[in-house]
Amino acid sequence: MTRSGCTVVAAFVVSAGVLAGSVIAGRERRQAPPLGLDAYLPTPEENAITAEKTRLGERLFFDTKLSADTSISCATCHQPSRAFTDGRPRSRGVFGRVTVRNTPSVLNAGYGAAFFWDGRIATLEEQVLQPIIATEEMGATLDDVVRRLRSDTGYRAAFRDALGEPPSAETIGKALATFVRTRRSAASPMDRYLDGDQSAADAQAIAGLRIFQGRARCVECHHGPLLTDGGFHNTGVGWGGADPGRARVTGEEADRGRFKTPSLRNVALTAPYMHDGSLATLEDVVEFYARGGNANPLLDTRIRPLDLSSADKRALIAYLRALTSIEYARPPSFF
Amino acid sequence: MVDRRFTACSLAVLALAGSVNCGPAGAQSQAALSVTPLSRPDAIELRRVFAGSFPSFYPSNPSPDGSLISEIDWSTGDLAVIDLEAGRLRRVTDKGPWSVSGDYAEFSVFSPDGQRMAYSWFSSESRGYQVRTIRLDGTDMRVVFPKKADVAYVAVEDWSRDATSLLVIVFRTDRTTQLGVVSVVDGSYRALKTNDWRPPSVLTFSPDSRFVAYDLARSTERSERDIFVLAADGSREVMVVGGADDNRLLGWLPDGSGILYHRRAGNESTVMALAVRDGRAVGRPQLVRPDISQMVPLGFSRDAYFYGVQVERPHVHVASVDLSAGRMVTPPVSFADPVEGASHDSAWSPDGQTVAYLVDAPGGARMILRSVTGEFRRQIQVPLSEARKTNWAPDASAVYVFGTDVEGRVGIHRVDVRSGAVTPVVARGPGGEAEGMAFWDLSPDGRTIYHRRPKASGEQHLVFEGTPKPTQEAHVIVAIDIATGATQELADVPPGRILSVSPDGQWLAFHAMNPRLAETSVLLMPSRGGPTREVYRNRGGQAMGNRSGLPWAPDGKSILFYYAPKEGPGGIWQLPVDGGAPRLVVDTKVLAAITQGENTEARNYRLSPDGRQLVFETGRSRAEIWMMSGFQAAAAK
Repeated sequence: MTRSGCTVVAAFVVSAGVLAGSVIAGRERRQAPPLGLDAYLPTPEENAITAEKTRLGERLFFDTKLSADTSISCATCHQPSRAFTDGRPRSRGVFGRVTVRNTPSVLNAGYGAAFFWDGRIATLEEQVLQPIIATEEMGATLDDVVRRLRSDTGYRAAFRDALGEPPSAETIGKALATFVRTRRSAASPMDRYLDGDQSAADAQAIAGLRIFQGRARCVECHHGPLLTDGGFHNTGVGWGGADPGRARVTGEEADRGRFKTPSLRNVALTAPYMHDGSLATLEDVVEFYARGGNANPLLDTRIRPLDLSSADKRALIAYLRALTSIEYARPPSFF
Repeated sequence: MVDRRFTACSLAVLALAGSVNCGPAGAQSQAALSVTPLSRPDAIELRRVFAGSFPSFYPSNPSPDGSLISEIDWSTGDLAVIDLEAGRLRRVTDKGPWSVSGDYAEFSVFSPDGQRMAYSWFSSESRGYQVRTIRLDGTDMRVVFPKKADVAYVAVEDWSRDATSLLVIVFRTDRTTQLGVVSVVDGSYRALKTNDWRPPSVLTFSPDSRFVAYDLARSTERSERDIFVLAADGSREVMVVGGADDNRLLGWLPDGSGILYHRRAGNESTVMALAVRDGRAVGRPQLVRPDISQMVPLGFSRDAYFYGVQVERPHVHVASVDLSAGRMVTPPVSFADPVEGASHDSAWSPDGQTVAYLVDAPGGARMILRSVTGEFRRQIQVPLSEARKTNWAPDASAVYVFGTDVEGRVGIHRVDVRSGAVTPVVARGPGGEAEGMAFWDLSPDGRTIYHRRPKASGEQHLVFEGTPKPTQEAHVIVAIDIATGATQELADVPPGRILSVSPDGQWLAFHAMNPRLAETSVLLMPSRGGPTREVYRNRGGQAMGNRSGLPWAPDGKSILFYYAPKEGPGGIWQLPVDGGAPRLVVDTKVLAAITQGENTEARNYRLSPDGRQLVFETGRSRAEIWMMSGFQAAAAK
């Protein structure tokens, strides 16, 4: 993405009221979250949300200085217009490298407790630094990035204002985490329907909700405000490939093939799907679960063939499309 | 270790006015701060303010002046109050009898000025829960939280001191539990925090309404609780009481200086206080009372804490019967030891030599296995909440029990009688609905579970044991193959509760009710499905309920059922399945003799395999309400 393109996107991010976070200059001010989300947003005491920190984190998020060859930024893969994903099966990093996994959205990531598809990182402050140093992603070193930022007078001032310290791995992590944490997105048609607005969702989507929570049992793993249990499950996606999933973190064979349950908010915007981006459309995803996933010895016992008619599947997809947040209901030309 | 530290710490704090800051209590220490004692055991007074038979406790809350306790009049389902001075129950709502309306009240709280009450209300018309407020004289009812599509159940927990907000626990249809705030001004709802299926047992505002305190099971695998303080604006949350013990929140001290909680550590149960300042624990927990083991939390009035105690509850009895003559041979005698507590849901072993029954216990239930000769007694800890309805496996290797395990799986679980291991057999996922599975029976070969549930209508709703519900819609009887999990819907049937399989496994007996006509019927159908046949119907009086039985005689020619008309003889009857007239086997007079006339109901009656003995639960239900005062005196000192 070009720098000017980043600026346009950044303007969108800040201008969209729902996404703009809930801070005022210099101190934290809690505002009501978008409809459908919890007021409680886990935030470390040592990294309270401030406007200055959020702005600094936003600037870093869109800055290509954070990559080894200054060719990409966080926003290259986490594009706001695509609900902070990139539309590719697997992400592309510096020097044309391709990662092994699909880009997850950062929207509402602040509510999470384990990050990356395998849950290997426990805090957002730590997570946001990992793509910077990952060889197949931004491929930089933190020392290099810190040096670049310290040589920039604007950044020095911004870090001083926001964190009272010069750029460092810790302060970069805090600022980026604050920006990501304040990307809250909800108020979808389904949220409005569940809040009592009977006209917010159509009959097919409402039927899909019932199938989702009933016969299809999607709710077993996709529940709560983010429609995820935050857990790790083996659905058979990518089984037999090189990626061991959660087992790489725990060392437990039983965790082989398990990956984190993704949030379904804005899922209509985040194709392709699954941790390896192997399913191109929502239709493919519904068909995948309807047939009971991919058989393997460690398949989650909750994954079983579903008796779904074509109408049921269409209803499920209508429900999933009704999970698109209010800011993404704007005309595409807005982007 | 934590236990000793608590005790030593609290004594030291009480003696020296405290100077150590730790939080979460029992987990870590912080910088030193001066802490004023929250309580002195010698200043705390306990006084019994009510003794009677009707408190059900779970929906209850004291009025600000401590003169009333909210309650439900289950004879109609109306919101009610117990006038502690008069010792009487007074209805607040007036919905009419069950035959007119299936609505009913549940959790309730008083407004800060004591003039209104907020309460959960089941609307039979919309088949969902609302939150309402009403004046104490029954006027000016307002719906502040209407039924919503993703809300299975809502419990009203507290009313903010500024009278603008209600604190609620919302049980969502996606099986999560949400702490939320409902505005009584405009009805808006704000989700504070969503948990998995685990709900708090107590959720309360701080007096300044800036914080919310609640307790929560430590994990999805543990029943012990920790206590948290959450900023009401969602800005932060702090675990203030943790560690290895079971800590249950009682309430926020009226002056806002801290929280009161009940701590169970091993066999030791104590009431503790912990200073909380700006949402964080300050100092160490302080001992309030060392000797209170049983507390049903009701809440604070302006200056005192109220709690309930169950002092007497029904327990298991056994009587000899002669079904060939249709009479009782020897009167019921207590089978369970009353000191065990409430005993219930008994079942005969296949050889008729042992009775298994359940006893309520912290963290679930205990299953008692007791030989009929009294020579053998064994107990198994069963970590199932709301455990009920037992059935032995045909090979006597296990007893199946309905309940919710510590991982939130609702359904039928297998208790291995040798190892004590408890494993789910047919259970819904965490927070899932029982869907009528509490009303189940096992085929004689142990391969099939039969149960009944409301027929799916697109609307989800919970079935709560002991809660009369209007069930005008059809039910469906379901057969589940235990080995494969295959489910088969056998037949649509009228709404009702009980179901039992004949000794040869060929027939199902079940009951149906029509609350509008106050009619109750007994019906039969083939266990493979087929036409149903009504063999009995009665009207009015006290009929079969949730906890009744419908046991078959060993020869399969008769069934026992309970019915006590308003006039004339009543009790446990023997009903020929060929349609003959029923015969009274156990007269209510016999039951009245056991309960000093207070209760003539027999529950969960089960026939021994030879049909000669009948085991059932009966007895008085007595409860007390106690008031704990003296907090302000201690604080002022």
